[in-house]
Amino acid sequence: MKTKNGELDWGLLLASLLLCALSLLTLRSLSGSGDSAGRQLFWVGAGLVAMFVFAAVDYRTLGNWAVVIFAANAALLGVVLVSGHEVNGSRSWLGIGAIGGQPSELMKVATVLLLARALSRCREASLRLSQLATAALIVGIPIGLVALQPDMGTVLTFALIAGVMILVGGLSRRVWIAACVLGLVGGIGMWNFGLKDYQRARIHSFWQPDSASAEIGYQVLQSRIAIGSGGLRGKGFADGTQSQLDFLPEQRTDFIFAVIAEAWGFLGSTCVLGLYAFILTRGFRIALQSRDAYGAYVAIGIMAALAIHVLVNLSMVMGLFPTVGIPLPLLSYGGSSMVTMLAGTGLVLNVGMRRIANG
Amino acid sequence: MVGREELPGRARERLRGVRTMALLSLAVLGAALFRMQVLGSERYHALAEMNSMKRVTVDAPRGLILDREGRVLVKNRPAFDAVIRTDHVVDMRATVERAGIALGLDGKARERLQRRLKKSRHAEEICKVDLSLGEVAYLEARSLEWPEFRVRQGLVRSYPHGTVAGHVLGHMGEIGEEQLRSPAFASYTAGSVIGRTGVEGRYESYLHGRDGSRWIQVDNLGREKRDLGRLDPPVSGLDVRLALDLDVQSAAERAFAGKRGAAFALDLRTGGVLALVSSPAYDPNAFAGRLSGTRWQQYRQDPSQPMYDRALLATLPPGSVFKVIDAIAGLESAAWDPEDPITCNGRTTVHGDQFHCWKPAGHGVVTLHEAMRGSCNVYFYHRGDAVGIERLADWSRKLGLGSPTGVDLDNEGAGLVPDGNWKRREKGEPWWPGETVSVAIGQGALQVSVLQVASVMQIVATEKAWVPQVVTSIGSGGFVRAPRLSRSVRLAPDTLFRLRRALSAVVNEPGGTGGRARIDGYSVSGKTGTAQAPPIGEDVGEHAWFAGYAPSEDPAVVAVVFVERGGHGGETAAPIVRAIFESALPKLGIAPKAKVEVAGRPVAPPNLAAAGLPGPTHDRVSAVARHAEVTP
Repeated sequence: MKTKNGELDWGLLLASLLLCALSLLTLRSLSGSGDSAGRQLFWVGAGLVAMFVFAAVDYRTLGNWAVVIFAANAALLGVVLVSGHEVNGSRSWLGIGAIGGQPSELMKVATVLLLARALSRCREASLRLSQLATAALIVGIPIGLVALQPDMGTVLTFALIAGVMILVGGLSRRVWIAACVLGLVGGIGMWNFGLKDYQRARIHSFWQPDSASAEIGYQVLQSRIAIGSGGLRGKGFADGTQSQLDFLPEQRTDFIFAVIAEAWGFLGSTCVLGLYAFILTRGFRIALQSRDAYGAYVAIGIMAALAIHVLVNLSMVMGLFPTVGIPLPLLSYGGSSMVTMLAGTGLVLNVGMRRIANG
Repeated sequence: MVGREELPGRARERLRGVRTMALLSLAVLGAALFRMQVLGSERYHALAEMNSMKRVTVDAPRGLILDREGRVLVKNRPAFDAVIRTDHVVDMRATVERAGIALGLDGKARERLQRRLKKSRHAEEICKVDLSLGEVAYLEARSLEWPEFRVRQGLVRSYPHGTVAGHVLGHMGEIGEEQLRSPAFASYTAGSVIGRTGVEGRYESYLHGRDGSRWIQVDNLGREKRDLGRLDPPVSGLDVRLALDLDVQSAAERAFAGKRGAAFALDLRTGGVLALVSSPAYDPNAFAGRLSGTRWQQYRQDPSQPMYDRALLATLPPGSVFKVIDAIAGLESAAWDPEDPITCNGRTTVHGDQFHCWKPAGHGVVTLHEAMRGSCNVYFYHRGDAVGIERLADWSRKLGLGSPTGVDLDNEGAGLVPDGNWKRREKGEPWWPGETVSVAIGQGALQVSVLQVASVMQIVATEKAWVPQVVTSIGSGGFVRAPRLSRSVRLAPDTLFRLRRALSAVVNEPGGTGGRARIDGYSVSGKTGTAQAPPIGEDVGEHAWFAGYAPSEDPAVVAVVFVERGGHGGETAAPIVRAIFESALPKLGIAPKAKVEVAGRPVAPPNLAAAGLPGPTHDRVSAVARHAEVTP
């Protein structure tokens, strides 16, 4: 696909598709899963359509519609709160017929589109207070709605995506100090009043996962056993005892990396890390080469989302971070996450294709 | 509108910084992966190994035990057991403490558990069997915090009739260390529950069946995750059918009414054990399930020793019942003429020592018939002495005393028949003639069991004795155990005639000591016995005996009873035999007769036809007696 302005980043596209293929293969290897691989194939297809749409329509046009897109997603999130399904203790699912989805996932893209608009206006070395306030207001809406579900993992990702984008935008020294103080106070308040008992238990159990004193620590322990016992070369495709015998919790969704690491070993898991690193390198290059600040911020936002998901998820699966329900981009089983990440990839490709200014 | 400005230079720098941070973080994760997957893989591999499949034994349902009519005497009941998985015990003290809290173990039980855990070499130690539902719920709710506890589903032996036939049925218990080492128990594992006594113990190999196994998936904490389906189904044990009749057994036990002793009833046509009572009885349920411990302690501390199997193990002097053997030995060896009278004044002198009859006023002039009927000691002092200890001992052994009968239950007592050899061997002294006088009335060193006395009575009734059979068939396919003769002793017709007539007189004639064994509609024969025994503390008095058969004219059942410290045999033992006959005879299809000729008063002369014998003339007696053919 060649456009008048630039070239499609085939490497980025190929790396993303490789991860999707690995996702399908891994789901296929898990016995007794119903037909999760088949359904995931459907979502990959849907995601590719979304990717095409988000790549084909000029991102600047999308940026002009960002408020509408954002408002529509916020409305969906509101609907979820009223009539959503409860899964794993949080009300984040919306079902329409047989298809269910998490609007909070798509909201990530919408938020990036709108935040990018607010931040790209900045001409100085650091953001003005009013711009910062606008950004905070924008990201505050999804954070507030998601926190009500409550889904603390997603709250965290929204905050981090916005944080990275604001960081690139630049903060004055005064704002830095204020942010640190606010963060500290907010953190303490959150721990004491904002978290539910099971969430506190997760964070507690994080400190001693091998003792398996609680069910959550047990999950992480099983995950660590799966990864560690994979060794250098892995136990082979579909031969991982941890995953085949069902010891791994959530092995199709949040803990899918453990399945891959058990089957393919250190060689396989570093390949996965390498693919993500490759995508991030390409994505950030597109941001740097973008013809305008808006495109740069869109690419930064999407890459930030990807990096945050990958880092938090892998740290969690390896037991380096408390268990938060965050999927692994392009690998975890789940429609919303897959469609959102592919759509986001489409956006980044979009920015890349139109990087050469034409006046 | 979206602006067209480019990203400011400072922002571009920060963007490069963010990119570097992200890639560095990925590199850190890569390093962490290297640590886990390459450096630490052995440890995790070991943990994964523990997360795997495990074979667990599935206990085979034990065979049922049925009575002669197919009524269930022993069955199985589903139950839950608490086991401690020893390899999951982190802090033994805490584990024992938990067991105490959850299962209500007292201090002693906790100590025992701790000792067992300390030296345990097994994967699992049974903590408590047959849990209550509350205890199961308590443990299940704590399966995460207390991984060393597991609730296991099992079967517990159940004895629906409680104490009835408790000793015969026997009880269960955990397999012992020595048994585990013996090849006969090769298929058993530590903690297996096996039959320890009675039929449960003797027929363990048939009742047990073959344990199966099942594969389950366990996680690294050993918790059961999933049943992977049965691999090897267990084979149920075989049902065992007894000759024992629940009604006869119950009637006999009721007749004891709290008295201590033993009773034995045998089907003369098959050699089957109709009833075998040891009183007081114990409830085998106490060893099977929830009641264990406390009830068992009670049994152990009970001075009446309910766990002691008097039917098999108790051997006592038979008292006057032995006079039957005096008569057989005397008549068969023609040591004296049964019609020669002896005068009983209540006492007499033999070998320079004075001996007393139980009746101070004396029996007057008596021949064998009256002496047997009234159980005259003076008559048998002299007649026994005339036969001599060696012949008495020979005949005792021929008739079944002094050795186990071979009943199909373990630990049968052998008893003791004293003679000159025994005296020299055991005491290093020669036999004193005066001792023969004691043996003649069933005292002295003589020791017999109810089973052995029954052998003597069988020979009197039918000239043969069976090996008593508790179990008649095994399995539904009908592996039937053939009746087996223990001995067959041909006695002279005159001996049989006189003896049978005399034993009928004991029950039926005035002056007979066994009148309380009489039943309307049936003719009963038998002999009473009252054995002196040295006092043991406050346990004083004589042992009461009665041994008999019925119907006299065509004997179908032999019954022998002793009552410890029961006083006179005719008073306490005879009514129990009567209860056994009353229950057993109709059961065996023997209809009562409207008029029993041998019974009733005034004296009816013994009916020879009824005794099934030709009426021998007095002249024939000695001649036949001298040529009596004896087959031991």
